[in-house]
Amino acid sequence: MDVDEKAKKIKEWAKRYAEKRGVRLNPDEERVDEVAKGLAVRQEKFGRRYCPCRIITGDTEEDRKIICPCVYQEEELKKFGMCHCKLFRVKESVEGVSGESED
Amino acid sequence: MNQRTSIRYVAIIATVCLLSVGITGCINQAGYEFKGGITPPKAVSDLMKNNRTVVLFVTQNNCPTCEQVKPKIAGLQAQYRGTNVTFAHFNINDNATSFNVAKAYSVTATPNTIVIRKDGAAAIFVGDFDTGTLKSAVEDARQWK
Repeated sequence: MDVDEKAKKIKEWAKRYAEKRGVRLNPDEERVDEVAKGLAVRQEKFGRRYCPCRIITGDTEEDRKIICPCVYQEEELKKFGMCHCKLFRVKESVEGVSGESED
Repeated sequence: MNQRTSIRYVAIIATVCLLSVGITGCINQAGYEFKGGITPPKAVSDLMKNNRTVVLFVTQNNCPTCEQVKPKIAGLQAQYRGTNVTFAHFNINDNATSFNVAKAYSVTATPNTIVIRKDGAAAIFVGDFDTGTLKSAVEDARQWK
């Protein structure tokens, strides 16, 4: 399976996860595709779906925390209305008032 | 409320405010904070020579927010061309130096934009940022004596 196919599968998984979790995917499809590709590249390289916006330390236990959905996303969703990578957003999140920079 | 009670309330509020400032450090209204206690690695201290203010932009490959923020950094860099502000981009996937710079500033997520004052204190912006706020931090760093 090449990276693009993997990214497609990850995007499908992310949709299912968001539904199950009561959140939503970023309505910006391009952003979702970019994150899915980043996750696919890392899955291919490291065997795990590590968040493309976080740094892999090499410490297996520590790095477990950044496998998407990472341990930080819950707090980020509460605090900013979206996760750091902007893949998941809270359902009631409104453009421009959820901590996302406008400029 | 008599005058003595009023004075007591004012004293209590002032004490709480002073303690808050002491605990949180130098957080300004914009929300960024210059923190000391970080020894800049050689790659950064070289950039700081001649009393220069330094802005580090730490990224990694396949990081969508890094790509999104790049034009903002480029715009700011253009505004500061010819001044005492140095912009430096470190992609942690490029080499060990970049990785060590990220490590020195405890970077765990990217992008990280780090404004470094002449004394080495750093204000760290994680992820996307408001350009105006970052510019305020750069100005604060430039004017710091």
